[in-house]
Amino acid sequence: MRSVLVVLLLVSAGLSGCLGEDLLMLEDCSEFEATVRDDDGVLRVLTYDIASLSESFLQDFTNGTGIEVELIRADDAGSILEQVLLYGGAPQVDVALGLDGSYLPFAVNRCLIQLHGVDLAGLDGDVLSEGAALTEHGVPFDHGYICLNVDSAAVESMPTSLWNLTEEAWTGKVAIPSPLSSSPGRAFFLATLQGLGDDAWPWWEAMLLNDPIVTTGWSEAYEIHYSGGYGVWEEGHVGDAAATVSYCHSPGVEAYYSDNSTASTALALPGAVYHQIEYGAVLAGAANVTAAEAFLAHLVSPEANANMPYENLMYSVLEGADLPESNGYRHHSVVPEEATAALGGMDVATLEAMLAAFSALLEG
Amino acid sequence: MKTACLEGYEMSNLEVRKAVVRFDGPAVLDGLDLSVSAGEIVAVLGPSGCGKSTLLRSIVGLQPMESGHVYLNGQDLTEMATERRGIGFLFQRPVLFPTRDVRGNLQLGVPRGVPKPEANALISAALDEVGLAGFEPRSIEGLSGGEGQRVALARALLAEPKALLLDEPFSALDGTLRQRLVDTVRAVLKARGLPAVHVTHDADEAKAIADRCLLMEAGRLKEGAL
Amino acid sequence: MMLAVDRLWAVTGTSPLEAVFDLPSSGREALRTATGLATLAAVGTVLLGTPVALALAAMRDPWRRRLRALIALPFVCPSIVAAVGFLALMDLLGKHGPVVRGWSLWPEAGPGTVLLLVAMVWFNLSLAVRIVEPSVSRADPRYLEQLRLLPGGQTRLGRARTWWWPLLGPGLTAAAGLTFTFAFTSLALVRWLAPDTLTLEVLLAEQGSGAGIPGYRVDLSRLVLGAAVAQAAVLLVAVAVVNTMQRRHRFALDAASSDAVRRGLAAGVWGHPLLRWPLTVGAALFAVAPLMLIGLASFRVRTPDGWTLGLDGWRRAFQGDSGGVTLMEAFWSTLQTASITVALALPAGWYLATQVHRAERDGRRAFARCVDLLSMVPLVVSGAMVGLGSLLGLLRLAPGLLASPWLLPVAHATLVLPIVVRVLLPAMRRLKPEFEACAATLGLGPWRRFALVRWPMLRPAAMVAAGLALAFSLGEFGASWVIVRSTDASTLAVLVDTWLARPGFDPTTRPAAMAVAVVLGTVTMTLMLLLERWREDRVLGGL
Repeated sequence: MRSVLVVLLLVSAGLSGCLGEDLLMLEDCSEFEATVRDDDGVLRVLTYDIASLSESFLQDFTNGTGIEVELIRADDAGSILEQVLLYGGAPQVDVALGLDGSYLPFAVNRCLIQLHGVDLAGLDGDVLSEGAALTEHGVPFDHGYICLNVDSAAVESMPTSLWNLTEEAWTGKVAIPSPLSSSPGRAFFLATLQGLGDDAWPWWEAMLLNDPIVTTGWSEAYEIHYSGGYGVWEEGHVGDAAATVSYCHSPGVEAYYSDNSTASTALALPGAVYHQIEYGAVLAGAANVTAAEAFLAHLVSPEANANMPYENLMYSVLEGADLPESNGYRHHSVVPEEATAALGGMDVATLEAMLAAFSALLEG
Repeated sequence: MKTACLEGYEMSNLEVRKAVVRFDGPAVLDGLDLSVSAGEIVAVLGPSGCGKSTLLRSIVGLQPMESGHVYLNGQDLTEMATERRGIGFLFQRPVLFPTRDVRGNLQLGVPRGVPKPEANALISAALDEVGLAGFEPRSIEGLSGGEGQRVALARALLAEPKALLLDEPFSALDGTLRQRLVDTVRAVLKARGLPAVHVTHDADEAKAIADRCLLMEAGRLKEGAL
Repeated sequence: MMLAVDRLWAVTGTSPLEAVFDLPSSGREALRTATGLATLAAVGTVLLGTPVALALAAMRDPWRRRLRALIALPFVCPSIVAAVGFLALMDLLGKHGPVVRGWSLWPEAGPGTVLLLVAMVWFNLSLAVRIVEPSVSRADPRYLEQLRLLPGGQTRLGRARTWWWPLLGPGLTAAAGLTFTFAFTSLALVRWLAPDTLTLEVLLAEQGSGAGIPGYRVDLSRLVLGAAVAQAAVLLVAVAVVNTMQRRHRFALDAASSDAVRRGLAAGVWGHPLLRWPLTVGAALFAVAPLMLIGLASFRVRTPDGWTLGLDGWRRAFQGDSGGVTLMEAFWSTLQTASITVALALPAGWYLATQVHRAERDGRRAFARCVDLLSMVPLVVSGAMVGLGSLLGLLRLAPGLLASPWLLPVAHATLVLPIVVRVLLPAMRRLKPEFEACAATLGLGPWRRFALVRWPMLRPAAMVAAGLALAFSLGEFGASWVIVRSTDASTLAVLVDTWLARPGFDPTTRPAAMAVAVVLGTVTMTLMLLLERWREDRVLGGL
């Protein structure tokens, strides 16, 4: 038995050398060699809990192409990215579904995504143009806007600028999902960086001094702390925040499920709006590229994509599509005029540096 | 009969030659010799802790010997595993398996490959032999000390041993019960003609059961008075 | 796990030791929080557990057996079910709920920590009672009577020192140590009851997947490395303490019939009915309440005007919707994982226990102790660490393994191994060697001896061990959570978490989560109650 242990130790020590390959951001991806996954007749899709991948959707796809689909569930967009990076060019999945414009570039930059051949005609022009840099690599399948959500029943006056939130009236009443670990949080972060320009860091510094509730993810902020959402009904609700970061159409969703009544209001404040477009991408090294592309095409087909507002609680990317009117879904949702998109004009390296700086700021 | 020495030995059924067993320190068995003939019951007397049990355990193979040999009917058993030696053993307290009833315990003694009806017949006969007719369905828990030892004896005999060792099996029993059991055991052993070694610290018991008495002293056996 | 450490080492360029000492403040906070919580939980558990154990021992059968079974439930309750149960408890309090919910232990700890602490105590109370009660109920009251007549025992204090402390002390310390370990590595409870609180385990689980990627978020990798090492270090100390205590716990007293003991105890302070009944029944209720509430909650559906009772949540859970895992799929998957876990853990544990026992018997004490400690190592490694280790470590070597249905059971089996050994070893020690010696003299070879003698006599202990392994696997959360996220399947425990994590705009989401929790809880509880029937009074008493 002792000898087995010794062998184990030696083996692992020896292996440590092999584990340290760097994933560099290459200039030219044609140099990158991806390890192609063996085709086993199954299309493996890495996604988070996207509701629109219903059984019927998957069944239709399988019936049409004869290929089974297997869903691997990660936590959120961030986890998807991490998983893709971990695979490092030798992926065990074929499609990554759910990376948005602020995450996809990280994977593209490391040559982990291959160009797709899916026909994007019939998709909304705005979506395609805003996400122009990425539409070669990713197929947009839904989109939405990130806004501040404020509980109108809990405050006397609505904030008119982000700076209001750093004032005394809002001390301890703002819940922000952390940009480091949450996708809406990150979107919000990008919006402030671009929208507030030079004022961005001072704003964050002031904000962090005003006792905000920084949570790991969107759901803690929205369900547990935000007093204007459905969280009020849930067990474990605390309700100490009157404002939080969520989608501009979240009040619409609230209304939809509550017979057109909600006190939650979306505010499209300058410097606080982000246009989030979610993409499906084929990984470099995928097993059956044709099947992957067919899957993505199916996702943006009129039959499947029109259901986005119901299934996935996001806007459909189809040309001319809008939120349904029933129950005040459309009425309570705000469509901002201006919004930050993708990486807000930064490149990947800068964003990474910003995140690291934010992390340091958070600690201090 | 004299104890055997190395040259000029007599042919006997169970034989131990120059057994040496040592735990840390002085030898418990120090070049011990013993020979028992077929049908002979030998008692080994000695105070507690002098190594009587060790002797028996060495013979049956539960205690490895540093040097020396054990012979049964001329065959050298020294390197053999306990289960192949074919020597029966009665422990101080009856070792009855609590997960089985009386029949179940006796079944363990029946040799392999014996078909069920025949095995049952053997079991009944064995119980008869030790005076416990009809005890098959009884549970172990309800047995008295004497009954337990009888079951143990029956079971040991079922295995068709070529010799039997008894490690103070009656010390936990009281007067009359002990006497009765001694008589039963002696009768059964004599009927089967097995060589037997009976270890005890009670001289009266030794006289009652054995043909010959030996004293254990300083790791060896000496002749004693009958 | 070593592979994971290696990888993190390579990626960050810092050695594990450096990483620990240089831990960024979030890591240090996590360490402080975890340690603080765990210590408080351990203390609380012991303080509450002792009177309950004593009161229980003074009870008369069959009530004692029933109450004991109830009190023992929380221990095998899946942690996620417990978390959900306590959330449901908050709901009962109506408008006070959010307030109580928000209480925090100390300012830094974040809201919900008081609730978390109560939940931890709840969980481990049954552990403490389980460990302590057998020693109490076996101790012959004649010792105490004798002691009263001696000068050393005439005062309460004297008796406490000479009798109660040596009797209960080691057991209590062991219970405290184990509580510390479990509380320290708790994931589900922290995640749901105090979601903003950062403990090492939470950090490892939630942020771990972002670590180990070369050239990306190196700071994260450093953090994870430091956290992992810190966690292992603390656990190592805790486990070492528990181990030493366990060994001292093994002194033998003349076993008296439990009836005599009961009468003896009943004559003393603990026998007083006013004290005895409320304590034990109270403890039993405390144990059962959260679980019953979940059942209730699974039927409550939110409507725009309030609440209705309905099966919508259940329906949703069964349908699974949106390509998600359905209740039945997760159910079978969980059972499958659990069965394989037992199939792996039981033989492995048996083998290990036999080795240790044999070594002890042959006098190779150092070797025995070494293997014994080694088998405790999985306790040092928390669920998240095992999950992370598989994720990071295996990914490079054998990425295909990640998707394999074998990965999770292996992880579970590793984690539950110490428990299996802990249950089997005392039983093996208690097995008189005469039985096998006798069987040998009857001519039974080694295989037959095993089948006809050793196995039947060790079977009760083996059944208990198997049951514990099964229950553990059914409810395991930490490792499952980390690993499952790379595969198609899901376990019931993770499924509860998944449902809870969904945005709850749709009012059927929450009841669906509750429904899954009910199924998980029921399966585990039933198993546990069945297990209690196997458990002889003698088998446990040191876990």
